Amino acid sequence: MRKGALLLHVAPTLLFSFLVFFPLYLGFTRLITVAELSPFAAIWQIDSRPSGIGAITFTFIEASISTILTILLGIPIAWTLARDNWPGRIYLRAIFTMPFVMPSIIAAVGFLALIGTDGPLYPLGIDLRQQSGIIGKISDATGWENPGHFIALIAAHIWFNLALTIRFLEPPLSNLNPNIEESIKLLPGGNNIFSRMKNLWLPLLSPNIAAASVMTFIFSFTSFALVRWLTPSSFTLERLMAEHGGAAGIPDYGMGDAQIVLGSATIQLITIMISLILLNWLQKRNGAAMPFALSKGQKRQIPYREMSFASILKTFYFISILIFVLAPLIAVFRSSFRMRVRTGDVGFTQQWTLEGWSSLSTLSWNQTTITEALFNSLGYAALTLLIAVPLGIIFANNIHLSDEIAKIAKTRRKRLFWKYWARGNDFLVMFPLAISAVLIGLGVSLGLLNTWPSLSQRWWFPAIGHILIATPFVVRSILPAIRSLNPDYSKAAALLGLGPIERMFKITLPLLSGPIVVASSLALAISLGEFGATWVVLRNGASSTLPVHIDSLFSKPGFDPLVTPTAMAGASVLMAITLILYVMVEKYRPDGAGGEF
Amino acid sequence: MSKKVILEIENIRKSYLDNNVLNDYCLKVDEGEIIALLGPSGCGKTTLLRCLCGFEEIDSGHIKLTGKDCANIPPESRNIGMVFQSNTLFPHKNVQGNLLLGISKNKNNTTNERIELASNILGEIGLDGFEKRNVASLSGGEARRVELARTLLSEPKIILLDEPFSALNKDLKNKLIRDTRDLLKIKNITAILVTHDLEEAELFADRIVHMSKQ
Repeated sequence: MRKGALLLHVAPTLLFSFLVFFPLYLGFTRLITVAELSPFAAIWQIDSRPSGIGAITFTFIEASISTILTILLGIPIAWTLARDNWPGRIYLRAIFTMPFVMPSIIAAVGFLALIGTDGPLYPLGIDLRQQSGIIGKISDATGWENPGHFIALIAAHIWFNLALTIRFLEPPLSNLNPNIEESIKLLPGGNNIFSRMKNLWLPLLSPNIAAASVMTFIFSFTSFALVRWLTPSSFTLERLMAEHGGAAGIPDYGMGDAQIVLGSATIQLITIMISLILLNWLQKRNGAAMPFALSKGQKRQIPYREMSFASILKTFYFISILIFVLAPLIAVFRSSFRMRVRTGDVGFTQQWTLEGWSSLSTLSWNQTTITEALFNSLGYAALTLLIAVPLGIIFANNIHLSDEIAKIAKTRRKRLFWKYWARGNDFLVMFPLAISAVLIGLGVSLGLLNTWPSLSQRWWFPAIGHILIATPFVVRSILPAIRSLNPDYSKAAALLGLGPIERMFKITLPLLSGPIVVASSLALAISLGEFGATWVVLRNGASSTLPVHIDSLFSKPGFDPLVTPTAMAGASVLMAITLILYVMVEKYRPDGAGGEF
Repeated sequence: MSKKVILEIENIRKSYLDNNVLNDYCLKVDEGEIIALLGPSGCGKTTLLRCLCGFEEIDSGHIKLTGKDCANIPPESRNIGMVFQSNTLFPHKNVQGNLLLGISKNKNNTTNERIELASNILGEIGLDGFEKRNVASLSGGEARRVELARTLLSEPKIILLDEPFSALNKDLKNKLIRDTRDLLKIKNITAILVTHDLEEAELFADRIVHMSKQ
């Protein structure tokens, strides 16, 4: 391998390893010093703090219930989208998978708007926020504290992660060779629905169901904005880390905080590592299902089913899910036009108004307006785009090349080296996605800022977290496209006299233009919506991003009636930008893409 | 003595949009008879097999199996076996697992008896000792044999073969055609082969039925 090529292989790995592991190392070292405990000893300290009591149990319970319900609700959608010829099927799929790219703060304020007294559920007697009416009665009868908050959190997690079940399950269902299904129907081992389930569907789908479950579990386990706003009286490990992280780096004063953060981070890392190992094992098993797939050029004929009782049930189910997916987004937009006004001495009522929108550039909190926060966000997003996209492309190319070199390596040692180099790079680049955003933020704030305080003066500093979180999405968008590129194109170009750089710019990159647009749109959307890491690093201040600023506005004492409509108007702007980016992703997403983002 | 008619196809029609694929098609097949449907691509051979299985609904006409009209019988209850053009061995099961799917559990047979049945048929198709083999490791010819064995184990009234030999090289194809024919004859199983290869049809079938485009 030539020196230049070798440098292109090694430099991104070293740079990314440095950006991911060095802050984490510094952060953990700092925490261990301040906490005066080992990471494992710190686990036992979590329950000793008032806010930490029950946090471990709550985190595992909410993540498990969210996962089970998301999968159960998602399977019928994936099945129907893959196998029935519905009018507008493509658009329905796009709508159902849209929440996954929405900023978590939008989901949080959307569900807040839905469950508030001005929302559509309150008049139906479902009060999840104040927990009066039927929810209050459930609480009284069962002794369950805050059931409304818990239900809202689970619903929000389902809303967010439904896309994972659809993306993981739809491809194997729609790409299944129809002859396989037909042949099992003709055998005694598949002559009824139960035997087909046992002998075909479960073996085929279980690796994908399990992979979707693991991913949903990780995202529910590490969710922060939703927990912070929807279950204000309950703490997850992620929320504990975020809210105790500010003081955790201060010697003596922050000892208790450091113990909680260290213990939470340790449990979280162990849980995520176990989940990732499980996911890796499942994906290897998933390889066995590949021969099921349709061969190239073969197309699945989707029969148009006539109206029947089953199709009426399906239609009802789809409409319910459609309302569920769209309701929080509509609620955000609607709330931007609603303002609380006083009636009489004690009463309040809600009125329609445009003042929320007209206050976007005037209502200031911590000397920042929504418009200024939006421009900060756009700046970080532009920087993320400039760095994460080229870095992700180089990583994807390196992983693919290493795999190819491993295939033709002449010695076993070389083959193993390149194989594990590819796997190692893949793991490295996915690592920031697996560890939580808050943990990345803590690494940056407790590790880098405590070691080099002057870094906080650099405007670009918060973008480090965004780049780390966006790069995995870029790699996952580009890698399948690079793998499917016909290698003969590059060979033919070489025979025409084009050098490696020319081949890259004239052949490879133009062929990858669709996936690059997808990756760029995702990188922008991820950066614009990033909340956990930025919240920990910035808290508030002049360089606050739009999601963090919306969060701050909601934290503001409620006497100013303009706060909610203005924050909702800001959230609507963020939602609109994300929607445009999502449309770009869907427009340029290669056909049949699934299992990736 | 005339043989018993096992399959009667009476004036069946099948069309896709404006394309008439089968137009008043008729055919009678006797018990134990092996026939070949010979015709060019697009003449409706595969569509006819799919109609026989019940994967496609016919527009009009009748399909009678042992005298009974199959109109409202789903594919899984028709007792018809089929070997497809593409490989349909289930990759998550080994050879034995695939064969066991073909054996009915309704005959009060024990697991050991079913395993023995699977081993016996492997011997009959010349694949002794292949029970634990991964299906991905089988050659094209071996995979075809296992599929045929799996279909035979389900004891169908009639076996449909949709160009199962088309992807094999000539020597292997001829040997497999002869072996398959011998096996079907020994077991007195009725079979319909779809092919566009005259030599294949002549080698395999008792009777050749020509089909042409509508």
